[in-house]
Amino acid sequence: MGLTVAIEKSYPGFTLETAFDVEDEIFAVLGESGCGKSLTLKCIAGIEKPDRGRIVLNDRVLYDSEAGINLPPQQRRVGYLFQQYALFPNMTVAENIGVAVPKDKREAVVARFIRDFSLDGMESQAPATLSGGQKQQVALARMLAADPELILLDEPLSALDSNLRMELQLQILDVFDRYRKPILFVSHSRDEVYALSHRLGIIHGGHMDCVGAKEEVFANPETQAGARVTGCKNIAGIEVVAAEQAASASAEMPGISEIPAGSEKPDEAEASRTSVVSAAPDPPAVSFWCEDWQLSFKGRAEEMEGIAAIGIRAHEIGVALDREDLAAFPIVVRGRLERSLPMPFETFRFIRVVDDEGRLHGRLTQAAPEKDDHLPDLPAGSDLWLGLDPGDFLKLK
Amino acid sequence: MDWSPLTLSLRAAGIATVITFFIGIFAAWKVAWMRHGAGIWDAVFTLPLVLPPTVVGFFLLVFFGKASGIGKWLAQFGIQIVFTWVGVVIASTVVAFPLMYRTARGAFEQMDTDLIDAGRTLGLSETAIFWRVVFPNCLPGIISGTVLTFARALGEFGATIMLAGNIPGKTQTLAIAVYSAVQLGHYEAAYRWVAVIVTISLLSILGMNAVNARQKQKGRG
Repeated sequence: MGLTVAIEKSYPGFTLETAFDVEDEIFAVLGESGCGKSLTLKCIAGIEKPDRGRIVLNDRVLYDSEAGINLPPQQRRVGYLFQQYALFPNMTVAENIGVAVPKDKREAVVARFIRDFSLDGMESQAPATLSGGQKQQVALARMLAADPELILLDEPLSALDSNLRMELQLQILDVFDRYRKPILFVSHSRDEVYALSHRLGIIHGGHMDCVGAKEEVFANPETQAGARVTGCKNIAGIEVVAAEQAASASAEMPGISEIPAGSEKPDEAEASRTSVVSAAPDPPAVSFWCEDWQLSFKGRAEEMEGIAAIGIRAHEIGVALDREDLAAFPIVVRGRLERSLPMPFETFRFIRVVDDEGRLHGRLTQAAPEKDDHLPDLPAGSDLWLGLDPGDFLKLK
Repeated sequence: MDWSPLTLSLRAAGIATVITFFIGIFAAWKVAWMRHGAGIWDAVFTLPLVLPPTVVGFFLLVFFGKASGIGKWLAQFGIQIVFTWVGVVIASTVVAFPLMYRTARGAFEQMDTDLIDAGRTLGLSETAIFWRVVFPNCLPGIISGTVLTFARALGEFGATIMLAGNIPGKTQTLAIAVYSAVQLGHYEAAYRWVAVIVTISLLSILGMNAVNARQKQKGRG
C-alpha cells in the first residue's frame, strides 16, 4: 500500500530522476527552487508526463512507461493543493467544495466540509473575498471532498506570514490525523519540512538523495546540497594530507611532514592556530586539511570515503575573546569579525578565519542565542577565537 | 423607404457572429494548447485580418466559383454561393473570424492554467472544465470577441462585394448601400445609412464595456 515512485524526465539541461515510497505518513521533499520538486508532484498527479518509469498508488498503476499506462489525472484520485490554491473564482465557497461531488451527495458532503473546516457563514462568498488562510481551508476542503487516496501539497505555506504559517501547519497535521491519507509535500523551507514531515528526501539538481527519517537526515544530510538546504551555513572543501596505517592517538599534527614544501599548508603549525584531535584510536585513520578554515583533523578511513567537504552548523561554533575560554573545543582557530546580524532571539556573526600572518581565509557563520551569548555588541574587525569540535562536523560528499 | 440593407446586414452579421463564436473559440482553444505548429495555425487564422478584404473576397470567389471543384459539387445540389445572400454570410464570417479567434485565445492564454489542472485532479471531465471553469473565467474576453465580430461583420464591405456583389434587396448590405448611394449622388441616403451603422456599432461597443465592467466588479466581489 502507499505510493511508489520511480520516474525520469528530461529537459534540455535538466534531468529529473527520482525514486521514493510514501507510506501512511507525511513525506516531505526538501529542495531549493528549480530543483524539480513541483515537477515531481505534477508527474504523480498526471499533469506532466514523465519520460520513463513507474508510479503505483495503493496497487493501482498510475503510470508505467513499459506497459504503456498513463492514467489521466481524472482517474488517479490524487489530490493536489496548488501553491496559489487555484480556487475557481467564478464559484462560491460552497460551489468550489462541491464541484467534484456527485449531485445526489453534494449537499451533505459540502455541509460536512464546511463544518469540518469552520467555514460556516462563508458558503456563498466568492474566493476573492477570503483571506489567505481561509483560501487554504477551502482548497483543502475541495480536495478532500473529491475523496483522493493521496494528498500532494505544493509549497503550501511559502507565501504566508509566520503566525498564519504556524496555524496552517497545525491544520495540515489535523487533516492527516483526521482523514488518514498519505501526504506528500514539497517545500524549500527546512522549518516547514521539519515541523510537518515524518520522513523526507532531499532533491538537488533533479536528483533525490538522502531519504530517511527527518531526524536522521537533519543530523547527517550526506551531501553538500543537503547540508545547505537543511540550513547548514558553513561548508568547506577538505583534502587528504595523509593516510596512516595505524593512527597514534596522541599525535599532534600527524602527517605534516608529508605536505609538499612551499605550500601554504601548515608545515610548522602552531598549537595556537590549529590543534588536532584524533577521531578515534582504532586504525586506520586519515588526516585532512581544510584550507578555508585553516584546520586539520583526523577521521576513520571507512567513514571518510568519498567525503569531499565538511559542514558545521552555526550554533555549534564557539566564540571567545580569550583562547582559554574555548578549552572545551578540540580545535581552535583565529578569526576576525566581519559583521554581526542581529535577529530577534539570536545573533549571527560572520567571521573570517585568519592565519598567523594575518591573511584572511574562509568565512564561518556563528550563531548564538541571545540568552547565552557572552559577546554581544562586538565591533566589526574585532579579533577573536573560534572553537570547533570535529564530532560536530557533517561529512559531506 | 427600403430598409432591406439594414435587415439584411443585421441578419447576415448575426448568423456570421454565431458561426464565428463556435469556430473561433474552438480554434482558439486548440491553438492555445498546441505544442507544435501553433505559429503556423495562428498565422493562417489571423491572415483574413491583415489581408485586404478584396483579396479575401477574391480567394472566396475562386474557391466557391463555378470553375472550382467545390463550386461544381455544390451546384449539383442547386446551391450557389456567388452573388447570393449565403455569400454575404460567408464573406462576413471569414473576415470577422480572426477577431473572435484572437480575443478568445488571448483570454485562454491569460487564464491561470492551475485552474484547469485543479479541475483535472478533482476528477472533472474536460468538457466540464471547459464549460464550468474556463468559459466563465474567460467570459469578458469572449464577450469582447463576440461584439467585435458582430461589429466587423456588420461593416464588412470588400470581401462581400467580391463574393456576393451588389444586388439591392438580395446582397446589398449597409456598407455597400453607402457606397452605392455615394456613387449615385444620393447623399441623403448615404448619411442615413452612415448614421445607422455608426449608431449600431457604438451601441455594441458601449454594451460590451458595460458588461465587462460589471464582470470585473463581480470578480472583485
